[in-house]
Amino acid sequence: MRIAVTGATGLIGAHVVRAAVAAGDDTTAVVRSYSRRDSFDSFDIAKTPIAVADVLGPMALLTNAFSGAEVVIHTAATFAFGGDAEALHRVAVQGTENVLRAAAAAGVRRVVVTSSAVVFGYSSAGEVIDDDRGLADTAGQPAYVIAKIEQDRLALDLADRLGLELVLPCPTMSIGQTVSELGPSNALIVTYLTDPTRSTYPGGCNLVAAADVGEAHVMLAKAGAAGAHYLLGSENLLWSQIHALIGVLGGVGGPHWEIGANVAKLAARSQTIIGLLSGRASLSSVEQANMMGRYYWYDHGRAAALGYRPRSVVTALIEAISWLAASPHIPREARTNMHLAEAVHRFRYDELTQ
Amino acid sequence: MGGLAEADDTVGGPHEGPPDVSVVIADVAEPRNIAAALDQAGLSGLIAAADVDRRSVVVLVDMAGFSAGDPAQLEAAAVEQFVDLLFEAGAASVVVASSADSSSLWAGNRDVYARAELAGYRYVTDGDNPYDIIDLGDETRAGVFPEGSVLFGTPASQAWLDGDLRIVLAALRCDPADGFSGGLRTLLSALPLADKTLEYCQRRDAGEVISAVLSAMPPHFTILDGRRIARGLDGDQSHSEMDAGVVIASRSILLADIAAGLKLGLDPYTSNLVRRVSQAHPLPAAQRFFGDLSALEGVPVAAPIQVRAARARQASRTIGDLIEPWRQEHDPVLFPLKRPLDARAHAAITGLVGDDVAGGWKLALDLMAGAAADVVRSWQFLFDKNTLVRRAVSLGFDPGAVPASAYDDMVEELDSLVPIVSSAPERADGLRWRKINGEIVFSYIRDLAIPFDRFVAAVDVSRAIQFMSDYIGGVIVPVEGDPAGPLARQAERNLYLPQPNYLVLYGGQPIDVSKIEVVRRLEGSHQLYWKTILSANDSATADDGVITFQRTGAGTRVSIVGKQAFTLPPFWKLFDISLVPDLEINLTNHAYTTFFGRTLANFEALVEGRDVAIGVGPDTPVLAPATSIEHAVRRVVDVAEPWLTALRPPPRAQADERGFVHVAPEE
Repeated sequence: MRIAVTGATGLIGAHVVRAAVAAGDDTTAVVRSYSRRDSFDSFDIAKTPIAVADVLGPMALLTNAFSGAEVVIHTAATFAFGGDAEALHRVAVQGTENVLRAAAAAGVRRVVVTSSAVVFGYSSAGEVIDDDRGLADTAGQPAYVIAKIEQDRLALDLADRLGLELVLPCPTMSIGQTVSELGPSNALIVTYLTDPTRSTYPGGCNLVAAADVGEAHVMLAKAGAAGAHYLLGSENLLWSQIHALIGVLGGVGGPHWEIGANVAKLAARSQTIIGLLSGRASLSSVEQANMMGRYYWYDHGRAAALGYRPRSVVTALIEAISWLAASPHIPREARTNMHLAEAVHRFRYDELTQ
Repeated sequence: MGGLAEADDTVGGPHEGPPDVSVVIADVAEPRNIAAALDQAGLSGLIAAADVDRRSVVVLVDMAGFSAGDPAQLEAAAVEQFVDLLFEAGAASVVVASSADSSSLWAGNRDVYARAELAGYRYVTDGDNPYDIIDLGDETRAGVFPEGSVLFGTPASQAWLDGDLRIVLAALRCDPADGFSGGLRTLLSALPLADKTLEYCQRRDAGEVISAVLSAMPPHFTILDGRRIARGLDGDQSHSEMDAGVVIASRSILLADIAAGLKLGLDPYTSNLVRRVSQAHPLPAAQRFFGDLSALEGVPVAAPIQVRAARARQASRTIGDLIEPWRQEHDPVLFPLKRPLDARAHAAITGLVGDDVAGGWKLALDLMAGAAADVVRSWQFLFDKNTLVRRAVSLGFDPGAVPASAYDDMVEELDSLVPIVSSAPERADGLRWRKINGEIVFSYIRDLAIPFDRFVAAVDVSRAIQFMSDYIGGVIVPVEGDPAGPLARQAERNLYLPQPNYLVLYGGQPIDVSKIEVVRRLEGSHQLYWKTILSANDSATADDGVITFQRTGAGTRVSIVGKQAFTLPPFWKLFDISLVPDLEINLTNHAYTTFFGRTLANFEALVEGRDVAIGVGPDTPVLAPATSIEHAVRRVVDVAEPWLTALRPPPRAQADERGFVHVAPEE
């Protein structure tokens, strides 16, 4: 199958490209002119053909990038909390409209648009949400969630009008090696590893390996039902369980206590101010603090019916921490306080041996 | 060197031939006394002893002034007067030399040539003798300083090395940290790097730096011009002066400075420079003083608390660099401050202390700056180690003077610790220790799931101490054998942050120990033995050990056996924690598990390809504190600008020339 992938240097996009190449598909990575491509080496996709186009740039370039493709997998997005809401919305909604129109113009049959599990909302008491829940109300949601919901509404409507088959994968918090900036999902690991108080908070989340999400995208490109959303997650865990796993695997221990939303907001504001003064990006935001106490728990039954079998959260964390520990995303001082679990070492050296 | 005195002669150290440790202190109310004093101190003899075609003279001056006539530096006319005297004594050529200092980073016109021009140097003297001005940073030579020198790896000035006769001509002035400043301080200007505060005073101990210069490229003669003395407790930063009418001359720069200290009524050894240099280049007990050594009247003496505050401030990269431009009295036209923040802060402080005749405000600000430096230092030690300045040091001892048997004895001694510590109780995971004669004898063992070959390829056992937690600088000097081979001997000096780090809050100093070491590499086992033979700051009476990397199936076992006794800060000496055994055990367990846990993490990180060194290295560019503050303010303003704009009242409508006020229609 001939596949074009937008956002190919992003967390999910790079894993989609790697999965598509591994599956033997004729793959083109669509990247912006200023995206770093040297880091493709670490993903074994350095030889993948590249087309330069921006989802917010000239339509001719985008159409040209898609020409000859049977499927476009559109992963390009801005995943951030507490940032510029207008920019988030523009990339998600305007960018997706441009992709769909360019795909139609290029004669593409099928478009896979990466959505997010958060478009289905959350529960306050720990219920698990499945694919049939329907899109959530945007009221009171963070800008990122609003942007993704509006993206999906537009995509469903526009694909129908353009005669495109549309599939919407909805990953949960995707963690793992990335060739681009850290992103909020990997940042949650770094935040805990660098938090001297080793605090956790109420609520829960569904984590998934970005590599599984990448493979699922390729699967859905071939077998997903048109017009359907597919949740792509792994296990539903409490934040305290996730932090305990990170503590064991990273060798930092904890969590020692649970903080409430108000303390978290105060900490987030402090971090934002420190980030502003120091010029370093803050790893957390007040928007994220507002999401505490909620349960972002999902059931991926629909994707499972197509053969989706994600690895466990422990395995996903082992792989992510193995990569993060050696990366510049973990400051030197934080690394000095880590004592990696044997499983992390084993994964690393087994992988190197292979 | 054309028959001139060899290095050690100039400082009175070990040498062949009679030592010249005389100094002349001359009352120079009469100008002709100057020539006589220099002659009596041996200047003419030095020049005459050189071959006729090798009488080029380099005169090192410190152009420290910040205004015309600033007493912190010699007047150009005074320097030219000395140049004439040199020609009269037989010099073939004379160059006046200096180099840029840290002030060139924050003030304009601070390069040598601009400063020389602004100071009134004319390139020809009243006696019609031509001379040149040179910047000692212009041409440099590598490889001058040997391994083990604090300056190893840094360049030396080619012109200073090329001088047949090297003379230090220094202004005598008061100094807030050392009490006084003379030839030794001026000798820093013989070194080429511009950021002298960082490279020669903060990254390195200034006394060690001067000692290294005296070993490798010493001056042959020193003249301290004290005809007028920059006074005031802040020395070179104040423009006040007093007439003293003194010139001091000697072939020994150390003795000249000692005489200067005595003349100013001070204990010369309160100066860190005098103290450290005299340790490295001790003077013979018998010294000859010619002239009046009675103390001058009216020289202010800083209270100990002021000296401590000044030293803390100067040692702090953050506070020292930030405040230096703010306190410096300067001519804003000749030497404008480069950064807007500095200019504003300087103006504010000048406004505050300008009419403060008694100096109370200035004193208060200095004490606050010193306290702030202490706070910042503690914060850095505890929470922000990456902003510390990584240190460079000399070895501190001559490894050639250590007999070969000492290395063999060390290995036997340390091996004998194994059965003692193996039978000690396991106090924490992998940690055993017991006390013997007040020393902690310990072992720490941990198995890492890292293949041995991969581990030892990344963690060179001969450098194992440099990879340990909180290592802030040091040096390794090979002594015998290939350090990468099966057996080698080496010497090392290393500095760690105080252990545990919180001791900094009680005045704890870095652990500074010099050691002899043996490296052994066998199949499946790499080892480093070390034994402390010196602690320059008395921070340890014992720090000996052996670290072993051993192959274990698919992994690596790291074991450390040793004995340690560190000197506690005075506060902790008040309490004998051995009276509360449980407390002692808990504190010791915490200290060792923290240190070794972090050290093992460093080893893991090395295998991952990470840099584990703390502090800012010599090759890492760092923003000046003032620039960082300016950037932060700009970011805050950018964020706040929309809110500030919204809060601002709309501009009032103005009447046009016919008296009509134009108003926009309501929405």
